[in-house]
Amino acid sequence: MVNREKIELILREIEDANTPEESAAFRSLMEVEPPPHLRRAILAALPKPSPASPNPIVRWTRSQLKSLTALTEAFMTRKTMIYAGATLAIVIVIAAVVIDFPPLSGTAGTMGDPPGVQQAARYHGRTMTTADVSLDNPQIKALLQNDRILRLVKSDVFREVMNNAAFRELQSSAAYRELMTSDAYRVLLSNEAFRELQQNDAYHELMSSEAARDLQQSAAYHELMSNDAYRELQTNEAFRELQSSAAYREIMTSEAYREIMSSEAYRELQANDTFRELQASDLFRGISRDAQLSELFMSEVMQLHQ
Amino acid sequence: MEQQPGAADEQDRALIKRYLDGESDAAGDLVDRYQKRLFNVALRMLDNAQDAEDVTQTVFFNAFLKLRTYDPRYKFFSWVYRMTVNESLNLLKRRKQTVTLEDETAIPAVEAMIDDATELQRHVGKALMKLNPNDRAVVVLRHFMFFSYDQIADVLEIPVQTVKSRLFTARERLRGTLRERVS
Repeated sequence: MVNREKIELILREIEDANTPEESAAFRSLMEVEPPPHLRRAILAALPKPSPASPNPIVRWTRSQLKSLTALTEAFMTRKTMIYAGATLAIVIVIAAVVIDFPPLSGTAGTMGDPPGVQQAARYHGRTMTTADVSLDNPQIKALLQNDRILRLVKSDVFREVMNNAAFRELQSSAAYRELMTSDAYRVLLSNEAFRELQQNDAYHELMSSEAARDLQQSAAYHELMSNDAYRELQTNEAFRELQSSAAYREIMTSEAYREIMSSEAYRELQANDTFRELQASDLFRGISRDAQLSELFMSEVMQLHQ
Repeated sequence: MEQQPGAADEQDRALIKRYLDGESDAAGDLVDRYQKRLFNVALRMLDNAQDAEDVTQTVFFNAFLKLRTYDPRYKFFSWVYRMTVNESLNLLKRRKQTVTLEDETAIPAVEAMIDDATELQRHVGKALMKLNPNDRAVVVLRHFMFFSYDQIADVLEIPVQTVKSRLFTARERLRGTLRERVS
């Protein structure tokens, strides 16, 4: 039950009726400490600071330009800017007429009055290549100016991936692009465990398997992944130990286990506290370790039902 | 003890300059100055600690990414608070696309994520979530961050009059919800 006094404190805070001391009390009541891992996560994901320009002339020019912009902003009113813009436009039009640019008198490809028929002129420039397009793009240009990236994209392995039809198909998918540019993926990229996982052969083998794909597409899998208890279990040391044991793997892949897991009664039993208590008891575990004892126990239980 | 806004701005500017000059420790100092406050704003806006963590992390990432183009004439604190509120509002919009209003109670709330969450915090969190997100932002900045009307107007980029009217509406509703829960 919520403490009435505290609620009154909140209500007074909302009315702006609290004394500074009461406000401080309210604040300490409501403030939540961020989890300790948050600071580490923030710092780990931060972009690396690009070093300050070593060239003092460049720095000076930059600062001067900045002050000039500030000065212009400070002195130029909206009206002045409109007048200045209009004046500039007039000057450009006059200049265009005086120097005849673009050539208004050009008649190539036209018919009729002077100077008569003239052969249509083709565009004489050279044909545009992919390289022109890429380097005209400032983002691509900036990216390729980085030596390490340039070396990477020129490498054989990169070429091989780029020539891979599946990769190209993936790249053209909107979902893939969305994923690659998502904040969550960026955070994941800076995660050491994720990097380690990506270099793991077994992980690659699993991810490329048909079964893994089927699993990832199933609604039950998604539901499980978003289940808090399951996520908590995954970080549990004992559970991880269990998962890596051969016996656990054998059971998990057995037909019998699949069958029992689909049984409604078994699910109900598993949710039963007493059943869990029984499973955790030393006595029961001792019985379970021995095949004969285990069978005996089962038959005893069955007899109880008769 | 709260710092005077002017002194805090100066310290922010000094830390930003140190970071831009290549002192990576300054990043840690900036994170320490704002981490708790931004996390609390996001937490009150979203009532979900995991989402609040994500928002805080995204805000810091974006802020540091844009630090080189940051204009020191503007207050750093207004900038990061604005980003936090906007990022939270965006997340709420995205969440609304997948969660219907009836399902809203199914969103993991503060109590599920924070070990030492008090009954009171849950109570206030639920009451805040009943407010319209824009009104909630004003209440959070005013009553949980103790901002002045001018500071709220600056952060949310709205006129002071709008701050006051949103606050008036939000207080009415909040008062009603809180009283209802007590009785």
